[in-house]
Amino acid sequence: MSKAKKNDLVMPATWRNLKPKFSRKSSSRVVGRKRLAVAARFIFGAAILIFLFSFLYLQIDKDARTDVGKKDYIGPSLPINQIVFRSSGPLNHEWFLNWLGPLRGSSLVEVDLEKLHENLLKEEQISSARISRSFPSTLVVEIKERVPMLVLRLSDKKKGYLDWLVSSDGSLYRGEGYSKGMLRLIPSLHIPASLIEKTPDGKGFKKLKGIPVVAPLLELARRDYPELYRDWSVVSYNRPYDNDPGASITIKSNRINRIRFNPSNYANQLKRLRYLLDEPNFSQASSIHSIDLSHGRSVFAKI
Amino acid sequence: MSKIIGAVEIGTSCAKALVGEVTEGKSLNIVGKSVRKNEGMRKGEIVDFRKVASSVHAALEEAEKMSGTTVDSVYLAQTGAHIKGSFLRGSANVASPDGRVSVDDLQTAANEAKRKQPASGRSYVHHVRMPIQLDGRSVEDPVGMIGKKVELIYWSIEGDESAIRMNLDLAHNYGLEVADLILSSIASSTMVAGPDLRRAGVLVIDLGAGVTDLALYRNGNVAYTGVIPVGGDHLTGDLSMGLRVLEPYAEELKLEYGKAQSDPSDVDQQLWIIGNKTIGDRKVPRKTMTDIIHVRVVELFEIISKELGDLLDTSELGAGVLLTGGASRLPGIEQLASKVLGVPVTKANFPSGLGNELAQPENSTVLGLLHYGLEDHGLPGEQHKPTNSGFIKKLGGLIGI
Repeated sequence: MSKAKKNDLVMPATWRNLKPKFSRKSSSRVVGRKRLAVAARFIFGAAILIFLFSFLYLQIDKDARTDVGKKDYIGPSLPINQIVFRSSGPLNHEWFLNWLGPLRGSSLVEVDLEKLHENLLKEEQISSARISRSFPSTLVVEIKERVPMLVLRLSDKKKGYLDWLVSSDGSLYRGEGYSKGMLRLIPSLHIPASLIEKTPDGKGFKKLKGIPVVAPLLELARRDYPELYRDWSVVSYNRPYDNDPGASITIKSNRINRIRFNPSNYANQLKRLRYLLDEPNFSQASSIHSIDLSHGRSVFAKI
Repeated sequence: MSKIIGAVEIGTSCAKALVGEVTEGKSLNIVGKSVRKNEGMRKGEIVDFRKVASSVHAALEEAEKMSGTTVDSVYLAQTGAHIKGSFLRGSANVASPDGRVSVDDLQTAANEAKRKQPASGRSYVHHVRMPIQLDGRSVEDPVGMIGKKVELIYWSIEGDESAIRMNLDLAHNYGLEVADLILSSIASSTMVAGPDLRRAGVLVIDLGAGVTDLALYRNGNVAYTGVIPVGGDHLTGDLSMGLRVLEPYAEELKLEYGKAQSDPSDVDQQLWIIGNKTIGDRKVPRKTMTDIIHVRVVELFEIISKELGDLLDTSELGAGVLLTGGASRLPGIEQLASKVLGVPVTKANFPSGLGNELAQPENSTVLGLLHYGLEDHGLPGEQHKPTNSGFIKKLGGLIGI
């Protein structure tokens, strides 16, 4: 850089370049008073701000602890004009509308999804549910229904008897939407009354503890041996636990009066049953008294 | 939308503060005014900072209270015997290929003129711009005109850095920004000598308590400014010594009976000094008092005459000499000044519209500060930088961080 250029950059010494010298000590009483007033105002302002922020924080915290769910943080939206309902079973869109009741112009954001979900799961026929909003005005409900494996007929004071459906997890439910033809194909369950317990409200029954052990047998038979399963009419069990040496599952079919299974290795037992029934003596018999498959490698059969 | 501006004159005898409200850009209303006695100065310079600070800050506080508002920035008057002026020149060739003058050309010439540094320990107070020269011709606004060379001349006033700094600190300590530091003589002449008088040529003499400020205008432009360290307090001092009375009594006598020239009736008049416990009640001849004042006033105008030299040319002073400042109240001073200077001298008048309370000769500087501050003194086409007077800066200024 040339000397001339350097000179161009030199700032002329004007009063504006004189940096003010401040003294922490007030130069006059007036300034002292003014500083005191400013400091007082500053402290007062800061105190008010702190108070306001604290109040706001406590208010938000209180709201968060109490009823956040009721707060409308999104604002108004359109009323629901469409409900999409999907189910894995016989429950349909009509059933859901009846179950839900009138919407009365409720907007999509006003629907309490958690509560709706909770209420759906109270229906014993429904094992899981998924509810979502599809903006601007569609409510989407997807449910998975329990699959009935057995029918349990129980006496009822008013109606004489009632048929309860039994799912693979042991749940008992009345069942809706099933056709009579479909229900006829489901075997009946016959167990001692001592194994059936009512729910505390007396309106339903607790899950049957033995069913989860029985269910794999029925599922396997229905899937791999439908010609056998089709003939099964009554299923009963007694202490059906695989660590119980006396445990057994008894099935009555139209042709065989009594088939006894041990609650373990159902595939092997069903394979033997099929083999046995293909034997000429058994295949030609119009009825069979009993087949006991519960004794390991030995099968006891009586025509 | 209105803007509040302040003006502060720290005079030898008193500190004055004005608060003005500028409405619609140019209309100025004085909404606050205060005068406080100042005992911390001699001959326009601070000798006791704390005393001066007390006076100035009290005046500012009172003016703010009177106006019912607060001031963010002030125009501050600067005077003192240390103030000197000189011409600075700068020029620039027109850079545009078509020969049209741009704002940048003017800025280059201005930078060139202001590049000269004052001596060590001194600082520029004020650069008063003369008419812009375009190829030797005086023009008001050369931007867009065709020419080869622009020349800028400034009457640049410099002063002692420490004295200026002390003046600035008084405002800063109160938490105020200094919008501009204005030479007292220029401020007062802005008030009492309008553009027509300045064009005709006029010398404004502001007779203050500690110093006398001079501003000479020719063809509407400043041709000279000066500060003579003699003022009304010297008359008081002379009376105190000559009559052997304490200064407060001498000041009272000066204000009550002071005259610049004696007349035959003074011979028979005796003035009683009563209540002075140091020397007792006694009488003094009025002629003696007038003679003491006369001698000092003659001396003052002789100094002015000597200071101005050839500049005091009657043919160039069409509007003559205007006297303002507190000491110009002295009866007969204009006749005496005219006799000594050899040019017509009159007492300055204020523009109409000012109330009687404000339109007093001792207020010409502080009123002029506000009027000078309202005018645009920048280069033609120059962008004005906004002043930074944010809350944090003000707070920092007030609490000294």
